[in-house]
Amino acid sequence: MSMFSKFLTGMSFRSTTPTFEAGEEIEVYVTELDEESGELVAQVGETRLYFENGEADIIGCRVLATVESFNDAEHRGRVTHRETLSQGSF
Amino acid sequence: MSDTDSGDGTEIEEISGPDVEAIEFYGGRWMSVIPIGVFILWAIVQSGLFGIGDTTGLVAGMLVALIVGMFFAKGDWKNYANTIFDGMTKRVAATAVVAWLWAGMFSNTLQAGGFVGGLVWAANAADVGGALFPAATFILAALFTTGIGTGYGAAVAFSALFFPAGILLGANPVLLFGAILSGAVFGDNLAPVSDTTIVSAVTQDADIGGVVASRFKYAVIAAVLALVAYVFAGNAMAGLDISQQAQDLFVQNSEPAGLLHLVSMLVVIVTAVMGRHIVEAISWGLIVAVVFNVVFDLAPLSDVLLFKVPETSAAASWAGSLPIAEVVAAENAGVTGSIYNGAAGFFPLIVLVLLIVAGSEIMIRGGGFEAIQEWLLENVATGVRKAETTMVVGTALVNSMITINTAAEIAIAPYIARIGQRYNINSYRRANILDANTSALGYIFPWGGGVLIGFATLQGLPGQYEWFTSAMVVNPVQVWPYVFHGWFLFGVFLLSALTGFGLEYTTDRKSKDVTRL
Repeated sequence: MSMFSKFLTGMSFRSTTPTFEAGEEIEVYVTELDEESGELVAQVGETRLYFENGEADIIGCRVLATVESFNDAEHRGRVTHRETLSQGSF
Repeated sequence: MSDTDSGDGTEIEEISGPDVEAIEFYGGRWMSVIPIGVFILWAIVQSGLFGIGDTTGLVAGMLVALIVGMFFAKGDWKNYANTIFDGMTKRVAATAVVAWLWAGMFSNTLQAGGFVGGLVWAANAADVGGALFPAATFILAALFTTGIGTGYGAAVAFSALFFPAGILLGANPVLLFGAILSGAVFGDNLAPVSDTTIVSAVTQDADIGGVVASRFKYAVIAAVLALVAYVFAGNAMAGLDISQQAQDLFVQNSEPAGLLHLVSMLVVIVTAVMGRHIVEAISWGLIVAVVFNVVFDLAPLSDVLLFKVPETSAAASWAGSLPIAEVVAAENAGVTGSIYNGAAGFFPLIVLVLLIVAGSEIMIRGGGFEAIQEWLLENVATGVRKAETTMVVGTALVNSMITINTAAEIAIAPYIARIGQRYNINSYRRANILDANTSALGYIFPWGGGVLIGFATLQGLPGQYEWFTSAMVVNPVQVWPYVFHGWFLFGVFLLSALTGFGLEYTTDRKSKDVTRL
């Protein structure tokens, strides 16, 4: 990212439901254990990404994950946990 | 937070350190809020009710609060005591401490080099009249604060110099004081060496250079609106009629070469935004500032660092010949200069942040933090827009109570981090929401630290100038509607939270981990 673009990034009105592409590698904080499915979830805005793998001890951690599939209409996706990068702040 | 029991436990332990012990409190987990709660109460009484802006007083308050909290802890108090140690050694506190020390050295060296004198020269050269003077003051105070990082420092310097000059030129006093405070808000919010910028970045796991670049858009929108408002209001609001000339006051304090420190300031900003570590960025700025001071005769080397060697010392016979030493009477021995004073100025705040983080750690291990967070997430921050609005309003609320804005920022920072991470709001965005209200409201409310320190300076002016009467002193209660940049900055962030302007998610881009500062 150039120095100039650092100043301009984010100059837009962002949706509450971001979309993702299959194969995309992302960094997310793991939000919670979904009560219905029992799967780990990362909530990005109102979009929910369900983990194919991973244990409950990564809740709150920042992880590297790969998007396996994404449903644009329902704002739901499935991701694979690759690596735990850090704990959340505090 | 214990995360070491599952299959991935080893990996997590490497990241988080060894498992930690929870603290149980009489009366349940909400009672772990006592240390921070007592401190907030102390801060409200001290700064809000009594109007005492003494950071060391807050240190005393936090110490008392930690002792009070201990009496509510169940079992062996050793666990409670150890938690204080664990909190104080957290990286978030250490990073703020390091950055503050560097920022303090830099800002004091700029002031020693006559930066304000350069701005005075610029104001004089621009030859603006009374109507436009508040707008010009806003720009120059904003520049000054962006350079030195401390809005309190700008409030003092500009209230002492630009305020009387503006009055003489026919500017409206209330508007002029509002413009000074607005400039302080701008720099406090944007400067990479500002204490609030540093806290906002390190508590949200973001690099300072990236934070400064990402908040530029909000700051500029608010600043343009504020500038237009000062131009209009300057023409609409009448000044006082005083038959004295401002010229003399300007000429006495004018030092065109002081403007060279705009370069020192840019060195820090550009280096930090380029992604260099903030310690490196400020060090380069400091070196440039010292060189400019000496080469352009802005300040002698002894203003940067001076050893006052006692005459009783064995080195007294030769130390006086050094450019950074002088021989003094034994009782006056010591070290001084901008490097010394700049770092020392942050000592009370450093101790305070260490103790507040310790209090927060007790609240985290006692479950109080989680209880508040759960309540907020279940009842208030139930979607990403509401979460951001909660962050904006929550920060504003805490800043309205704890008027030493850095202390307020440290207290609310963990909630901004947790609520934001719940919706994967980007660390830059979280840092920006946190800092905008912290910077703005500390200079708006009549009991705010920045307002009071400026007011105290104005009160000294009648004793300084014969023509300046105490009726010209602006009361803090009069000025709050006219801190235009503060209000616009708050408005920009409230609208941003409600509409999603500037919203970025964790998945959009990442902060530089290696330059966590």
